[in-house]
Amino acid sequence: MTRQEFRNLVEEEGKEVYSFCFYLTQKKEYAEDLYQETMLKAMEQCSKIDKFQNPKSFLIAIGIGIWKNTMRKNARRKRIAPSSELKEEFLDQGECSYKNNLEENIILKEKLSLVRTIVSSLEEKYRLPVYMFYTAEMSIQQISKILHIPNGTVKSRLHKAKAVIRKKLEEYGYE
Amino acid sequence: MNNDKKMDSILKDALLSNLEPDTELNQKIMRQWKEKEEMKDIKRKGPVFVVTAICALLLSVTVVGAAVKYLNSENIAKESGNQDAIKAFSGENSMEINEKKQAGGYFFTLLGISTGEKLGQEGLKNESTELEKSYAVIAIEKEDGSAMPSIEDEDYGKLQLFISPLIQGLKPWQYNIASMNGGYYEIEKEGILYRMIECDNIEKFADKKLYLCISNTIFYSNEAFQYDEATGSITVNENYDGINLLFDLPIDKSKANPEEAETYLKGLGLFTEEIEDREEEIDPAQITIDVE
Repeated sequence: MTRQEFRNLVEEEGKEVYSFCFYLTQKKEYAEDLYQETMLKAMEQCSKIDKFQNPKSFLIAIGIGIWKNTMRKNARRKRIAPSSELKEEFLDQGECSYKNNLEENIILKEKLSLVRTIVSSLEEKYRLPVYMFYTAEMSIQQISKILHIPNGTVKSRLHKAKAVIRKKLEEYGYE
Repeated sequence: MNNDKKMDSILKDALLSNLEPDTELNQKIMRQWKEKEEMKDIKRKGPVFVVTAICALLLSVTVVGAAVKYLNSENIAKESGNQDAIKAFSGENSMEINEKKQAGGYFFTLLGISTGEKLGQEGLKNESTELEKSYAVIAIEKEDGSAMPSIEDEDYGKLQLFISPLIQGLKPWQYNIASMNGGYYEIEKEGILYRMIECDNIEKFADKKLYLCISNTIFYSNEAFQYDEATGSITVNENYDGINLLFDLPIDKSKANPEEAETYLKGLGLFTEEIEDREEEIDPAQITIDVE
């Protein structure tokens, strides 16, 4: 892979990979570390990247591997709940289509924020497919391949995750 | 829209964002790509043997005797074909160390170190203007006695190792083989992998403690090693889950040249930005948010 090809990879896939890292780690500085490590690992294994198939899947798979390793290494670290790190300034850019009505907009922002909070608190086996599907926009088949689980299991986990989210939203008074 | 579609839509709105990595972050990654490519240029894989060289090598091992398991540093320098390294290891500056340490299922033996004048460009390629180079040779073998993969094997390169001199008082993530115009040569012989590293002369720093670090990382790792800002000392991180070793490099303190060292550091000018020390890492798995 040439320098230009690697640059293109970073530019073309960087955004979704970074978003995925951000949601996975829940904190900007960790997301940057994970993103950087992912890209560097990809650089090391660049011969395995098939740019004509799906380099994003490859990058996400690397990111998940690094993240899981990090979790194992830090297993004894203290428990915290950095929900405040999911700053609106980073997240509300994706909600620009909802600006018709100030009140509606506020309600919607709160709802979406709650959804992110709920997703971040899901068990890993549900959380990962959700981020892969909705943030990284990967297909069921791609998720299945990376997580080494059947397509049906991916679907089932997404379905269960949605059921939990729906239930929590209802508990908070959202339809 | 049914409930499932609605939920899909909500999740997309909530989780699909316009988050982007900072331009600086991508630039940093590209810089590291460049450094890696330069290291690749320096690294000279592949044995280039001639029959006479092999015979001479075997002879020299035999002369040393059966008790000597490893090829010595000079042999490895000869294998590399780097005339500067050969001269350095055959000269009076050459020091055999033969110190062995174990980590991660491997034995690492620091065979020897040396420093010598840089004569020409035909050796390890670099852009350094330094006239002298330091060398170290390390033997790497598997703890279970099985052979290390040869450079033709598919498994070769799977064990990523960062081997670099480090200097007390200088931030190791800034001053290491990558910034000191370094490179390495590797060869496998009789199931043992030998790596000869080269970088700008470190003897000028001999008034400080000099280390050789080994970690199973691509670059210097702040996780594998710890740097004490107060004392400038570098230690292994006992909690690191991987290979992290430090050897002392016993270079004669009389060879220190603080003025030259200072000039050299200024000349490097590679790192002007301070890298913030990392705070204690947080386990993402332990992040729990009670939505009840």
